[in-house]
Amino acid sequence: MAERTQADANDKHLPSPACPDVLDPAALKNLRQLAAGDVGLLTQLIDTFLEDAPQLLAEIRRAVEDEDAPALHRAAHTLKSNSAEFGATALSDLCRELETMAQANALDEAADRLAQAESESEKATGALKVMRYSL
Amino acid sequence: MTQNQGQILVVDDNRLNRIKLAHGLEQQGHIVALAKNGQQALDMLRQQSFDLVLLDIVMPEMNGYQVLEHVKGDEALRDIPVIVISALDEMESVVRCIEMGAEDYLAKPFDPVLLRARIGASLEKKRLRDQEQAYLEELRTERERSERLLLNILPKPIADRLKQGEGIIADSFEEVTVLFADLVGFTPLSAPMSPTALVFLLNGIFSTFDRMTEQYGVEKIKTIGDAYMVVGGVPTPRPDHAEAIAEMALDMQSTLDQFRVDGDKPLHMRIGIHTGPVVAGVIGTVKFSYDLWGDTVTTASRMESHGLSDHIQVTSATYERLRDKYRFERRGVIEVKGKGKMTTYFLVGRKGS
Repeated sequence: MAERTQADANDKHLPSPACPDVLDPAALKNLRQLAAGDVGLLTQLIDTFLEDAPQLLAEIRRAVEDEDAPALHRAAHTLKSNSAEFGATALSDLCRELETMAQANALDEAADRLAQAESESEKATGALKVMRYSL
Repeated sequence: MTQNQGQILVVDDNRLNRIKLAHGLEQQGHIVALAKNGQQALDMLRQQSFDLVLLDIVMPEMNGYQVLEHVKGDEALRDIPVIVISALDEMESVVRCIEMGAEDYLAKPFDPVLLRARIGASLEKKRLRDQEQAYLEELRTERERSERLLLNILPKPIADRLKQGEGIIADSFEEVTVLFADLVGFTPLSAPMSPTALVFLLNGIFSTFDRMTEQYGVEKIKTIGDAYMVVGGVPTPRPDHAEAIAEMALDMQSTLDQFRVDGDKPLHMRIGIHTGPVVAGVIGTVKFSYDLWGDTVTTASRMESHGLSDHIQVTSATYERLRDKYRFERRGVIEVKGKGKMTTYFLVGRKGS
């Protein structure tokens, strides 16, 4: 229980999500609880996401263009998981759709979902950058 | 390290997950090692010991299922608990992993409280299993030790029956052959020796005889002072019990020449053999041993005590069973204490040798 109290106290030092529409507050609360006031860790996690997300999107684009279902499955799976960590629900949902398409090897609508994912990723990374610099 | 902290291997191709899990676990006091893929995880598992593995399912090259399959198929690794990491929409995969032997699962994104609880529970179970293994091993060692001790004093079929709860064992045997051997004048001969040296010499002789009993498939009953008692056809009956004992007697006689008292004095032995019915078994509750009862035993003993040094004296009952295969000298009729007049023979060797 001490942990919870500490996490609540930490909320005072950590900013609220910059863009509530993009990042789900519940997921962010979880992250803060895990970090337990460790600003360095939060920064490291955000930086890792900001570095990896564009690479994963590029991997998804390449896989969609090459119709490489296994590669698409893995990259979409990872980005789905990472975006869910920060409460980027819209991006995570799109990645899940891409993952499912890859599993079913039905890539007809993949390019369309990819375009949406790229746009959602812009929003999520923007919100996370704001959050990172206000830590 | 306290009992709820352990060495944990995190296997995930996703860097973000590795950083987060490593942090969360280290915060809880665990020692964390990280593997980026399945092959690296297996290499690490084979090199160092872990208390727990956190395993991602979707990974390139070797996925979580393959890692799990290797771990569960490897004698040395199969007892390390594996917790599968999965997204909430992957329940089918989780079920498959649990069927393959995974202990539990953790859903992504991780809830820190649940993470702590599941890991704590897995480590505790692992600790209890390790403890149980250690107890079982100890128990097995103790059982083997007592088993060996028991087999030193009782024949295996008899030991097995006693273990199954038989209180008294007394089995009748229609026909067996009993041998007594006595070292003639051993006490005066060994008078100049120290008691320790005497026991040492006796041990050398009787241990040689013990090895022969294994070779000829006969049962040593006991030693009485400087006498040695052995039987053929007990506890497992055999039709050639008399031949087995005859072979043993001839071998005992020729082997005795290897032993000397006080450096150079040779030893002499009287051997007596008789064939007939006995009761064999175990009676009493403490310091029990496998023993023989009946007139056959007394007669065999008399053949030895009424025999001659360096001779193997047998009754006509034994002679009748062996006369086709062995050479004998008729000793004649002698007066045997408690038995009256008996015709006896000396066994001198095998026919054709």
